[in-house]
Amino acid sequence: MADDILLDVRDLRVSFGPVRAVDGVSLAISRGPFGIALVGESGSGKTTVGRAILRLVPASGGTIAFDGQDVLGLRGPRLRAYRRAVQIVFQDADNSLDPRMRIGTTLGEVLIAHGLAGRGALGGLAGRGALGGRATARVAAQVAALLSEAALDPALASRYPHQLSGGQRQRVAIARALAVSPRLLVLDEPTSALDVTAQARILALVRRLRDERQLAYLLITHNLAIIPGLCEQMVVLYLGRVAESGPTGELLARPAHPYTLALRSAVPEIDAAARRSRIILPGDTPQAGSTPPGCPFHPRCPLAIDVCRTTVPPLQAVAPGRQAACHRAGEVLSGLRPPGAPAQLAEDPGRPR
Amino acid sequence: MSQAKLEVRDLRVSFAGHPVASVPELNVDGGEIVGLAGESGSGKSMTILAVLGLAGTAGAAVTGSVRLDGQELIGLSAARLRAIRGRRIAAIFQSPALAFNPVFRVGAIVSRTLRQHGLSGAEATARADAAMRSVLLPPELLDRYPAQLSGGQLQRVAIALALALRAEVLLADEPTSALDVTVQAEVLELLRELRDSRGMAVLFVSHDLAVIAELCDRVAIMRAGQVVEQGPTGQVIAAPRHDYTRELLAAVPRLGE
Repeated sequence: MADDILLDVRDLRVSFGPVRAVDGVSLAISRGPFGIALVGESGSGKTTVGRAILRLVPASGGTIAFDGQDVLGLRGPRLRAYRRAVQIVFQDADNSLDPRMRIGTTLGEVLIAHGLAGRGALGGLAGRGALGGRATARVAAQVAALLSEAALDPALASRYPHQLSGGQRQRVAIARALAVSPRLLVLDEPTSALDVTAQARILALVRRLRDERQLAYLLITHNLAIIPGLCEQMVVLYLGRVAESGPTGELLARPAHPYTLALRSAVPEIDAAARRSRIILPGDTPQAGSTPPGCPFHPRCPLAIDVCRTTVPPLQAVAPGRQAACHRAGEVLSGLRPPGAPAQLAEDPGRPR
Repeated sequence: MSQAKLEVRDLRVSFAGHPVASVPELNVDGGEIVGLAGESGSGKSMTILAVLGLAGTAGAAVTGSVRLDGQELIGLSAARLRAIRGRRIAAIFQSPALAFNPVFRVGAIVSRTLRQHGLSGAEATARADAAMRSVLLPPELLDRYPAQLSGGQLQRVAIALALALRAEVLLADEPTSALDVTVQAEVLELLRELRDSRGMAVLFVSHDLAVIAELCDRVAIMRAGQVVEQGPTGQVIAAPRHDYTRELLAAVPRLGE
């Protein structure tokens, strides 16, 4: 394994009963500063991949290696150490912060639980819940430093979550993740619940932390527009499988998979000149329980041909550093586009559950 | 003077004397989509609630004028307002899941609403089926419970309900903010279709100027309860006159190329 790989996910599978939510996903995360995006619609399995990396849901197959160490077999103190090194920030800070705890208590609790409170003069003396006055003052100082680092006023430590805006709450969630000096952050739709101005501030914060903390992160999102400038690499998921992966710039400029084309065309563009003809995908994302035969994307694919209905396209190299799972990847890469954007659909296939 | 379908004049919404939204002038004509843009807390949603005559239920005081085809809505009795709200002025919201009672089938919710507005059972069923088809959903989905539909499907059912009632004005409060970009693209396409083929007047609220840019003919930018700028969308975006508009524009992520 290459030395610069921090987290190596190979052929990851996660099943919920008969439903294969994640069906053979591989991705490699380099040591920070490094960003990789995991992209797809609701139901694509992107959040499940993130949770499986954190060991929040059990993998049913495949391997995950962190710094060369097998993650899926970790237990006890070593699992705890891993979970300190890999932190997650959820979409909804409203639900991931305890409403009855002041911000300072929430952040201080993390430091105390991980034995990081009052580090320095006190060394390891600061145990759970048994802090003396001096240690309490040190925790407060640490909390203030964390809030400042997340571009928040340290005075917010005395507030409750509901007294903060959504953007501020999300920055608290990021501060909480940073409290344990993680090496990898999983950012699960960190800005989807925010308006664009709050989103811009969060993304600027992530960009700054990446350099200051040498962070590596996995950015889970359905919005392609926030990826450039944050992530060198991206992986596009469809129904639990990788549709396409590669360097962000190239992949967005020249997609090899029709699904990526459709995702790209769905991004609202403020500059009329940048607006592409829209590819409207018929129907909603199918549920993972009802994967069609052949290519999983073929029922919605505007470029599907006979082979797509019968044969699953393997994920293979389409250009240096790039892979795609599409029978027509070569053609798409060299410019094949759906004929006109179908503005209206006669009948919606609906894809019921 | 020609009259717009929906005319808002000197609208002021306040809580205990504290103003939260102030709209001096806003017109939405048939066959037109007008955007109302701004951050969370800028007063967009309170404006929508005031137009619907629902701001009072949230404890707000409303003054000013809201006219539908020249008829004043502010100060109308609850009963008169009920005949207009839903029927002539429909609304869709950010979370379609919250707009549907989870214990009833979707079809039961739709047909009960239609019967409330005076349709017979048979008429309601026929209209509901037709409306579902025009939002590109199979009418069979009416037999399902809300939890069995995706967010995009539910949002389209909400639009179908407006269609079935032959609403003339649609108030859309962040209707795509909770949806995937692909589903958002579909819903925006549907709204354009309603504007163009049915001549609906649409007031579209969003924090995302990119969505506004794609969809709206005109836009009003709100900040801290005030309209700071308004005009044709292309003009406002190409040559913003207010600093806040520039700030909103700068916050929009761009794919670039």
